[in-house]
Amino acid sequence: MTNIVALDSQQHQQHKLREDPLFPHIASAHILPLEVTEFAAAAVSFPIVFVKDSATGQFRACALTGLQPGQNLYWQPSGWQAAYIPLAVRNYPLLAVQPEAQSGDYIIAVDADSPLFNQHSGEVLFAADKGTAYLQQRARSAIALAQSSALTQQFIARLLELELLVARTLTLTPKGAEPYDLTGLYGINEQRLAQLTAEQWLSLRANNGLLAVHAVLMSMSQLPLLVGRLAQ
Amino acid sequence: MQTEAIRSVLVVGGGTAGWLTAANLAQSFNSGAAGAVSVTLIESPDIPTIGVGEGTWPTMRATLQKLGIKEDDFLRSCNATFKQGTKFINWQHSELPGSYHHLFTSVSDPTQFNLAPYWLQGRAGDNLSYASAVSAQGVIAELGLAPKKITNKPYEGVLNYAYHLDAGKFAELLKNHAQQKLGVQFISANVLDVTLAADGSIAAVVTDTAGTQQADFYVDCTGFQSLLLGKAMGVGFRSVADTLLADHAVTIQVPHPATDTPLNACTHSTAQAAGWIWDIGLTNRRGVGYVYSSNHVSHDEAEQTLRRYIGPAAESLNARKLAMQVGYREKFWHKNCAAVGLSAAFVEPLEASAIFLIEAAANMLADQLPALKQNLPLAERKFNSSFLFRWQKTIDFIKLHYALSGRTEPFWQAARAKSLIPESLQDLMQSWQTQPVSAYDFAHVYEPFPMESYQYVLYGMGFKQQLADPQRYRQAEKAGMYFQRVQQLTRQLQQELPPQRELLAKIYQYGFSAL
Amino acid sequence: MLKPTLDDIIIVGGGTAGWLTAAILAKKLNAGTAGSVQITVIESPDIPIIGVGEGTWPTMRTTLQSVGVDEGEFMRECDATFKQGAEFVNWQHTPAAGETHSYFHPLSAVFHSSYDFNLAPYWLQGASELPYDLAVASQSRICQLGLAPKKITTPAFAALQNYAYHFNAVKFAAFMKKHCTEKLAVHFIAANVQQVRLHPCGAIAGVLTDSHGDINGDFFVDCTGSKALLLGEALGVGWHSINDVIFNDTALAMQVPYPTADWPIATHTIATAHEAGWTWDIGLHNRRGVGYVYSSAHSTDQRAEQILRQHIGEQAEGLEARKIKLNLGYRQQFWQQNCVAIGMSAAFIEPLEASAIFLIEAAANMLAEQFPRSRAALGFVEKKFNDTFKLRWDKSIDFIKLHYCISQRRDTAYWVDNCADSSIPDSLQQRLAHWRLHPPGKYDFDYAFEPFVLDSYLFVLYGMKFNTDLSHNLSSYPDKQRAQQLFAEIDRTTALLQQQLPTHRELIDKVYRYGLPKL
Repeated sequence: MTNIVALDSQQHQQHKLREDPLFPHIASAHILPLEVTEFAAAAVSFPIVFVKDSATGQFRACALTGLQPGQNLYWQPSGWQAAYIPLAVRNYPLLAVQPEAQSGDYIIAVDADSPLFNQHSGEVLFAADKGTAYLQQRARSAIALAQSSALTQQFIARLLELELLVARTLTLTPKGAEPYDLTGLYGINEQRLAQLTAEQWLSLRANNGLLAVHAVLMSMSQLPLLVGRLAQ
Repeated sequence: MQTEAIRSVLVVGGGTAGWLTAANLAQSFNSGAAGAVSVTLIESPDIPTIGVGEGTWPTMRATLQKLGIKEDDFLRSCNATFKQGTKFINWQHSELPGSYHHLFTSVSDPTQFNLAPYWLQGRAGDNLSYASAVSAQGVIAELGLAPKKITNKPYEGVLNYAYHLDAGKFAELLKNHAQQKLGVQFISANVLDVTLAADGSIAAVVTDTAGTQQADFYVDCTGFQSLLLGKAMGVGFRSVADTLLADHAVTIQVPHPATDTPLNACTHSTAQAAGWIWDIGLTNRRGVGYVYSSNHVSHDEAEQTLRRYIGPAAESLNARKLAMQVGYREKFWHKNCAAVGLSAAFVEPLEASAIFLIEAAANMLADQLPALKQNLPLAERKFNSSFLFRWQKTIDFIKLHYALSGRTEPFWQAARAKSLIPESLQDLMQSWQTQPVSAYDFAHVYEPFPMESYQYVLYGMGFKQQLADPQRYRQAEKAGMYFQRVQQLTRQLQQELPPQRELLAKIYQYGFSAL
Repeated sequence: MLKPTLDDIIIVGGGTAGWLTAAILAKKLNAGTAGSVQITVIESPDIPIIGVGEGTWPTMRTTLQSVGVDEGEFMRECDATFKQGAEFVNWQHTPAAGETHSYFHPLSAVFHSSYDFNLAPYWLQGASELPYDLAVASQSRICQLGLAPKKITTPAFAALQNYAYHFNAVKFAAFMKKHCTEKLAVHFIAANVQQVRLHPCGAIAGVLTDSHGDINGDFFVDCTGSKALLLGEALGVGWHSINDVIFNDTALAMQVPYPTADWPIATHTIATAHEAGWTWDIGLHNRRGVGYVYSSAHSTDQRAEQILRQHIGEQAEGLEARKIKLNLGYRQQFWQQNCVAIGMSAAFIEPLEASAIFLIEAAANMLAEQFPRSRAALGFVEKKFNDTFKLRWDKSIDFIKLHYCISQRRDTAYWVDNCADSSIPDSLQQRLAHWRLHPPGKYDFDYAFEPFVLDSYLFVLYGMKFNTDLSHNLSSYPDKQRAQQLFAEIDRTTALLQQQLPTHRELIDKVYRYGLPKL
């Protein structure tokens, strides 16, 4: 479980932050959150899909890393098996949250239950009541991610407006087992994309939307490779 | 006050009506079980069953399945073929040849999304008929292809379908099945007399070889004679001869020249000077008949017309002439007796309504026959109002075919005279000149012909519809998708579906697999 | 000379009826585009719209979706909540002091009795140990537990369990008004209608208003409420009272705030029977709407208010009750010439089965679907409309009466009178006689636009412990095993839904915050 608390120079004076290149916290995550700014880079490693957040019903973008809940086919004890590592994974356990929407101010928060956040090993976070250079660099990265997240939400809203999202069901037949459906995934409706008016098409260009749409479409070629990983 | 239970039903008369009703009742009452309501059928050993080729509706699939008859058994034993609709030939003009289809499958249920306004606007293409715009089935039927594949489950179709069948053999199949599997008791005897009780209900049926038979409820399946409801109880007959002018039929059975003669996949109905000719293909022969008005053509001339239609093959064949009483009983159910089949009503077989309305009557009877005699009046009232409605609407629908025709012979001019068109139909036809056909025009659940049937006939006959409000139909994109799907399906199904003969041969050999 | 086409539609009166009709007509007739009709709503700036918490039917989802409303926005703007049915408390027999009993009429039946399999005869033979409402529908249990009919990830207007809404009717009218004028090209005129002008042939020519002078039109919709300014007053179409069948002619309404912001919200209407009527209890987002509908011939207003306050308990302290007179019945005709009445101008029956808004939707849908652009076609549509709505209202009245006339309550003259044969329509008496020996079946419902269908009748009849004696006919029901399998399947579905569904309050709060996904 996660336990998100705001970083506090007093309360967390003694805390350190460690990095673990094996990312044990996503060992069993079958989807990993992605932001629209990452699509082009992520598309060469994973299928990019859209799923509904079970807490809010809102769509978000994800890398599909497993074919059933609890399964991450890119994670190995020996190390991460893909060229790309999603930003949210790299930023963990830090994240930036906006206390008031539109305010431009961010608070840096941390998953206090993460073993990466502790008092005995890693980089020092605070010195003389101020954030260290290391913390400032990590914080910048977290804020950049939070800002991308707003872009992602705009991008998804635009897709919905243009009716470009469509439900996709993957029917999987594991060896020697019953076939099952992986549901709740959404992708780009190519037919609908082809029917867009010139005006709608151009409107997608803002914020690199066109690039993102194509990245999602191209990332579908990763699906058979993902299924192949299961076989290995 | 009668408070006794209804424990026994006596069906008088066999044939399609008698056996279908007895089977349905016995299946519903579970008559084979101890303590169940019993079903007995009396059939004359002397009256031969007439084996005309007949068409059914798709409802027959559900009926057969309910009775527990296997589809391959049925097909084999009744020389049955698949029927995918009716092709109406030369109904619109006397001089100009032309045809249209009334089909069973449409790409969109028009009560949900009506494609007709978009077709009228030319969204399906300029030269596409209504039927070809909304259904792939017309092309499939034209090619003589089957509505399904050998891999489909029994009674399941790629396209919706009904049957052509040999009615005599069908009655035979039902007779065996009803006795062996459903617990119907069978008495072979001639009915000599029907006796009434003091209150006018039927007390007993007197037979020549099986004594006097009594039951709590009687079903009159004695055909045109209507021995129970008509003759004994005196329920009158309301003729509709002034609305539907055809009063005779002459029929010929034409064997196929070879065992691999291709089979029509729909009933053909070809307009003639004083009526129309049906042409139904069974596996071994065609059933062909001319339904005509004896006021407009002599019997000899009618037979000659039929022989000309068949061609040289007719030379050595016998023709049989039938007189038709067109109309219905003033009541279909009176006290402890209901009439099903010809004893209840008859209209010309233009839309294959005969067997369909037998099924409907048997279904309702099975569901509504009360447990106690004291509750008969309510069931009687419901049944009568339901079937009066169904027959009147059936008559309206058949009349529609004539009312829309532009043929010029005296028979056709008489048949569309406005004074002979029921007012209910006139109102609808007037409305449809400017308004699309609508679900609101069919407010009854047991409407015999659905909205789509009316559309096939209206647009097939070239009915002039000028929609008063054309710009309200702005789901052109959705309509376009449906029209495209039909064209795509038409191409695809031509590749996939086998010819009727080929499928039937496979069914005879392998049957359908149940899954 | 009247022109041959109908192009200008004037809706007189706003409110739920006026604005809902305007939206449905405008959407279906594509108003505002070249060649289409022009729709104008004239609403008085002075008449306050009566705003009780109201219940709808599931049809409202299709209606809102088809006119292009966003479900999340609609719910937020109208204090709306999800309604999954009604619970009828103390209707079946006179409760002993402090005791209550109840049954549910849910909106989802897992197996549709008309089409799938009628479980009623098997339930009657004891194939399930549960009461009928719990045996045949998971939703009764879901209501008891206060769970939502869907999840936050379920697309807008889609459902895991069929649902309708409770909402604030005043806010709903305002919401639809905004939607109509901003999105659907409906014209709006704020004015009072002072006079209705007739053409010599008896059709309506126009209306005279205080601030906008004469307004002419080709077709008029009378949404002026029980006054029926057009169809009733101007055209003189009479009123058919049904107070010999349904006695409740007065209502006392109260708005009861929740004690805390996280108070559970009931996901069904609670209808509790009392000595001279019944109370409704409808949970909106921010408050409950509670009211007592009673017969003034069987209760004084003081006694009625006492009952209402007792029923609410201490939360009623300091709150004011508002009295509303109800005029129960329907117009002898709903449509005459170029005028149709929709809403309370057409008919009104007590809100026991939330049929009021449903019948507005049905009327507006039929009007839109059948709207004749040529004057010559009016007559046929008028006849069809009048026939079908006479039938729908008669059938609605039968169904409402059913709730009363099979009750075992005889504690007051009110219940004795309600169960007297003389107050029960013949059509209902005949069916009840039949159902004493046969479970209701699909042949009892042979009208395509039947407002209440077989499942609804089954829930009320067997919820009320109506006795159908099958002993004469047991052999007709040989599928006991199948029935038991279906009952078991319903149990499993219920257990699964219990795990998956959030509480109603939890989902409502989320919907207000995030909205609902479009797909």
